[in-house]
Amino acid sequence: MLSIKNLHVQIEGNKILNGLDLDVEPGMIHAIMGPNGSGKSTLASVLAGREEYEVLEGEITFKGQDLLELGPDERAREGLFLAFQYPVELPGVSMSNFLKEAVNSVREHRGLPPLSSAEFLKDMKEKAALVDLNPDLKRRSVNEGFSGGEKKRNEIFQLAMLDPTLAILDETDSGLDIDALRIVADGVNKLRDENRSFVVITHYQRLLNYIVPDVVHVLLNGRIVKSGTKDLALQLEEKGYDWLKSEIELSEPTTA
Amino acid sequence: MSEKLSETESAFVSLHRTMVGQALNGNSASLVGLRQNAINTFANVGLPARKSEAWKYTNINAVLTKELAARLSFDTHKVKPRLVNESLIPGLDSPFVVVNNGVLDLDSSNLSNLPNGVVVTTLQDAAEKHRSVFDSHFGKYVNETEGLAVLNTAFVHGGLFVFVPKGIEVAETLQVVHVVSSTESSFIQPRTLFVVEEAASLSVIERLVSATDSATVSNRVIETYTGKSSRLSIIRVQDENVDSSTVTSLYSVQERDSYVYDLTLSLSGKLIRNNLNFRHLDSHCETHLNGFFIGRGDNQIDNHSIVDHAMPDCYSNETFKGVLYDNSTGVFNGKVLVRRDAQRTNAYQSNRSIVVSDSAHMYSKPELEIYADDVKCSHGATTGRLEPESMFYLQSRGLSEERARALLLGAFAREVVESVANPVVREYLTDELNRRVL
Repeated sequence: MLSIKNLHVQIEGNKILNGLDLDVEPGMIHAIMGPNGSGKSTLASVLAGREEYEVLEGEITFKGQDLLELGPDERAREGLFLAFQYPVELPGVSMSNFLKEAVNSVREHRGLPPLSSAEFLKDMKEKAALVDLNPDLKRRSVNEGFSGGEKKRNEIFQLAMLDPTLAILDETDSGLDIDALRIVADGVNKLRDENRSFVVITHYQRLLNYIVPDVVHVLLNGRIVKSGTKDLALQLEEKGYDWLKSEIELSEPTTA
Repeated sequence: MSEKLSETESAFVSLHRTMVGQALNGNSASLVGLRQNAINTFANVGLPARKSEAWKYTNINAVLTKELAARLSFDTHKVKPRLVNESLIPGLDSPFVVVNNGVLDLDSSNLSNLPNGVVVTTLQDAAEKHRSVFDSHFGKYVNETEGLAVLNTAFVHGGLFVFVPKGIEVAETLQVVHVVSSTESSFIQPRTLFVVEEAASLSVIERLVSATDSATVSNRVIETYTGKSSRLSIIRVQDENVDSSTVTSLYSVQERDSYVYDLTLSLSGKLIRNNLNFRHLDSHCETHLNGFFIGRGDNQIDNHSIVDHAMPDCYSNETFKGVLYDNSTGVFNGKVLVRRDAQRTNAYQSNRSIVVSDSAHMYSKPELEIYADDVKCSHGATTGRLEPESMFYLQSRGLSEERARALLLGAFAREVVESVANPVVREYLTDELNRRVL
């Protein structure tokens, strides 16, 4: 599904990713944990196609295609979805207009006919229920006046509407209280299936109590330094990241 | 006559001399006197010079040439009913008038749904048949130091006079189709007077269209009087051909407890200059002025506004927005003047522009002059590109760059027309802006 090899990335002259490797198989949930500044959000941004990130080296293939060759809209139509850490408010752009256009552009790419207004509204109602969003939101402007929790639920709602094969959740848990976290996680769990993969980027183990990952990776200094089962997340919760840092320093060749 | 007159200015002065008693006819003594006084004033003030701060970015002398002065004309060509129909708002089904090269064409108009007592006629007719109203208001609100406005008065002919007497509320929106029908390059000077007396109301939507591809220059003046406890709403859609230029000078005065709504949509034209002047004659007035402009090619849209708060307890809210493509230029110069006696004034102003191309320019100059001490005033001006993060958000959901831009610009434009009260007009203008802003 997704294969990242030796990825080196910089932004504004700062090197953030330093040879990252990652393979995500269909139907799997991979969690990526790491302290602030380790490169988690950079990874999400590069995957979604943010222009300002410069790939210096390495490759990313998504369903056999060179992902880096595709623009952000093409990636979305191919089935990649990014749930934003900070969803953008778009005053005056109504949820229904925006989503209808998004859904139909994805459908067109998949060779499906556009949804009729009635089908679209029915779908919207069903998917909004997954994350307990008020179906009345169709009249509202995208994210405008949404609470922090509503914004995150809106991301998962859009995920459900666009039906991607790979969803990247960029710190979806940040700023959520425990109830909102549970709603968001329930929504994600309902969307799990054998063809859809998730990359869940998070700072805290908390989210992973609700979205149980198949694999947990630790990102440090722009590289994945340790991978394991969900127990690794618990270990991190207990010990913090420092023990890993010292472990790595020991194994790194010293530059003299 | 001053020796300093430019060739164009001299041409107007001599043309006036030739036309008096000929093309400039009419039995009203007051009209004859007003024209004469105006040409004398014009000979003193002349056309606006680029040296003046108010005309810094717009060189009117480049479009209003000596040759064009000689082509000042009241001639009209018959307007095709189809053009009129296309210029009316579908589904509105309200009374409409056609003004052809500045002259009211009643034969092409339909006023059957207007309430009794409302007068729609030419200025010449008004000067004779509604003399006291005409004499009380016509030419009374024009700024005598503005050469173009004075020039318009000097040649006033035909025109449009709309009078809503005391207590009459006109429920339907009056549509005014201003057709420029010249088949060759020419200069026209349409003139309008709206008088809304005490406790009356009127809503107007004006559309400026060209019947041909000829490059014309229009020097338009609108005077409006909004009486005590009355309401006046005017929407202007400026949509002439891309080679034509229009200067509109609007002078609005308001009595106590009155409400004025003004919206200028500048969609097409070579040079569009709007001089929008709002003045409160008494306290507790409310004034809303809004604008949206779209610049393309080499065209220029220059909006100048003055809200003159001379009286206490008044409110004004001004929003101008625009999108500039290609090599186009936008200017916003909005002055809010709060005079010493205008205590407890609330005045807000905002100007936001999106510059789509690298070679487009926006000059924004908000001016707040406040002499009263108990006021609430704010202003904000931003010019920039579409937010990259907003674009990315939409693209990351599968929208092409083009569609993402369309959605954002549509939303940006729509905000201005959301303030339109009539739902049919609002929807029509929303669709039109969505289409035109791309």
